[in-house]
Amino acid sequence: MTTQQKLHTRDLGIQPTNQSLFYLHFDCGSCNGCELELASLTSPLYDVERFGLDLVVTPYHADVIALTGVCTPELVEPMQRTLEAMPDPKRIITIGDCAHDGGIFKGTDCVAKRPLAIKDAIAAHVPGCPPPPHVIITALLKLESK
Amino acid sequence: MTTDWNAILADCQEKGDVRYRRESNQTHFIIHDRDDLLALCKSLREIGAYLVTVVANDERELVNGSYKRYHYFSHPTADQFLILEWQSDRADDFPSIQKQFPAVAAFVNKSDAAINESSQMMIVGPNHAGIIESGQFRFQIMGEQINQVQFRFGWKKRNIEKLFTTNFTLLDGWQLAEKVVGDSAFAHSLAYCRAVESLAGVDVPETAVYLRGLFLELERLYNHIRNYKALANDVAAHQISTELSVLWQYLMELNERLSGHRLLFGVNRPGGVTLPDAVKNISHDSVNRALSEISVGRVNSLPAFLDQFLKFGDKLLNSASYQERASIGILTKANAVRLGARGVTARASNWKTKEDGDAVLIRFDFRLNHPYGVYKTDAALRDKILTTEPELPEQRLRSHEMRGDVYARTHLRLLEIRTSVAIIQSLLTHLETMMFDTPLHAPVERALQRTPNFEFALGYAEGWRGDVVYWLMKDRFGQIYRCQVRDPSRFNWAALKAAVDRHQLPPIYIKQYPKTQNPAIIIQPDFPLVNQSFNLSYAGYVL
Repeated sequence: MTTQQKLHTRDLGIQPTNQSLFYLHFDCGSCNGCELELASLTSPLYDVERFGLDLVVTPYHADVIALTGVCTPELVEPMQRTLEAMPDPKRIITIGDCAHDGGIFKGTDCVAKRPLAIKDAIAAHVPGCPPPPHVIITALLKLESK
Repeated sequence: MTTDWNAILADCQEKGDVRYRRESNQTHFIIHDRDDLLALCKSLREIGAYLVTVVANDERELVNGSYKRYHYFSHPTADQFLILEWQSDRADDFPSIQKQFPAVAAFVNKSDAAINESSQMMIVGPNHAGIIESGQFRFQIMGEQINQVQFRFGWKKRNIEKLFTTNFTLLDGWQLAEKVVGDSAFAHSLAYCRAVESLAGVDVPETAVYLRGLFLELERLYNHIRNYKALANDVAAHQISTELSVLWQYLMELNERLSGHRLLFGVNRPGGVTLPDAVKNISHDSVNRALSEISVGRVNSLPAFLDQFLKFGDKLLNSASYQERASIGILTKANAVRLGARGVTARASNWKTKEDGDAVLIRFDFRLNHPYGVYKTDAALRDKILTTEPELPEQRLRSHEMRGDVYARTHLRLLEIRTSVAIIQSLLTHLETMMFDTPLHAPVERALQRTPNFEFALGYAEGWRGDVVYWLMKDRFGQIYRCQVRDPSRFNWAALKAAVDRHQLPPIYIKQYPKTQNPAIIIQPDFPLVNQSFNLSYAGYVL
């Protein structure tokens, strides 16, 4: 086996699918930890593109928004506008404890009350601080097959 | 240089009142006269001192209390901090030291002067294309060329400094400290814990000191490799970028095996460190075995890992394509000193100029300037850091103004990775002989109770971006009265602006080239490369 093939033996026991899911990243006030783990997904160790997962850079192309961070009051409006620009069905996956309910920041001023549009769109949550890449991939794949 | 420093201390003694010193390397004076403070700042600037941090504090509820401002200064050749305190009954009555230390402007959250609205504006953000934090860049452009750039980061404000006082105690504040900036979690929690330890006056067990040194270098290593990978990606060197991202992932998994967390969260505690129960010892053997398991036999030891990295790192540096593209984003030495740049940013701009003559180059590195932890006990480690002098290819040395560009920063990161691996090797040799079954942290709680109320202390650590500084004050209930966080990004964003703005180009470029053909002028697509070479934190700036 070559080195590259050996790397691929470390996969997650998931068969490649014929479906796809394009995800967009939106930072709502995170510490850069979840960003690091999201950026890990494209590394050949995980190579999410073989599962049909692909990072896109505009909401027009996105199937799901990967939301990180506490959702600060200042970022609610940009978030809403990003969501509006997205085609239906609008879906959000919250990544990390902060994005779920504020985590360590829960109940403080920096965690804004989310508008209904954002609340309704949340389809899944990935727990962890920050969640390791294989947990994120498993959650994205679950969403992909829905 | 110490004579100059001592002269200033004598001057302070004459002009102000000396206060009780908590640490032997910190001298504290209260200055009452406005002109005296400004004169002192001027002479500090003249001997080459730099601003460490400025803390504004509302101490009206104390006995004889008032608004206070603490200015922390230091000098690159002396392991000394000078604290100049200013008191006032009014919140707005503070002498501005911006003329003497322009870096202080970074503490004032005021937006820049408005760009002329009639020129063409391009606004990028707050959400970016890719996996980046939220923030806004406002470019004033002419065609494709960037004239000027402004940054807006208010979007991410999380009220960190307030949260320290309301939701956390001195003993569990490390939890928040490591969530200030996720990618330098260890440096932040280390700086916080060192501040608490300084307040309590406790010594950390030797094994914990070495473990802290090890994890700090591991953090530096994985972040530098991550940055290298992103730089390669930005110039479309995809093979290099892909290979380096694999090496980066190996390090993240190594972190998890050694500390229980991929980003080294939850290791530091005030008084020492905690490790997961599964980690019985850390040695050359265990690290090599872990690396070999993680990489399925591809990388069997740390030196092999370094070789693997250098293979691709050198490939990027030696490619003509990269050398050409990376000659932009020049931060001149004068600008770096003026704006108080930190870490790799400052060191890469620290080239030798004609005026320096044979003078020894100053390294802006807290591991050397203010040795702490392992760097204090082990002089051999400091020598290792000192040898990280950037040596550039000859054709680049000839036009020495080229230093301080994207290439210089990339090169310095490569050298720092090499140094980091050497330091980790040496630390592992020490750790092999150490006992892990003894307690890894000293009791702090009792000692903290003995500390007088409203005492304050400084904690610092050299993270991979630069020095992280925490300022802590204890309140009357033994909890946090004020915690000020100073990430290196606080100063370095101004340095990035200086490297991009057209009117701040090095003079030699303006002389040599006509305005329109200047190779150092940055065009729109170049900005991500320059930004990536600085690799600053957004979350650490807004707090």
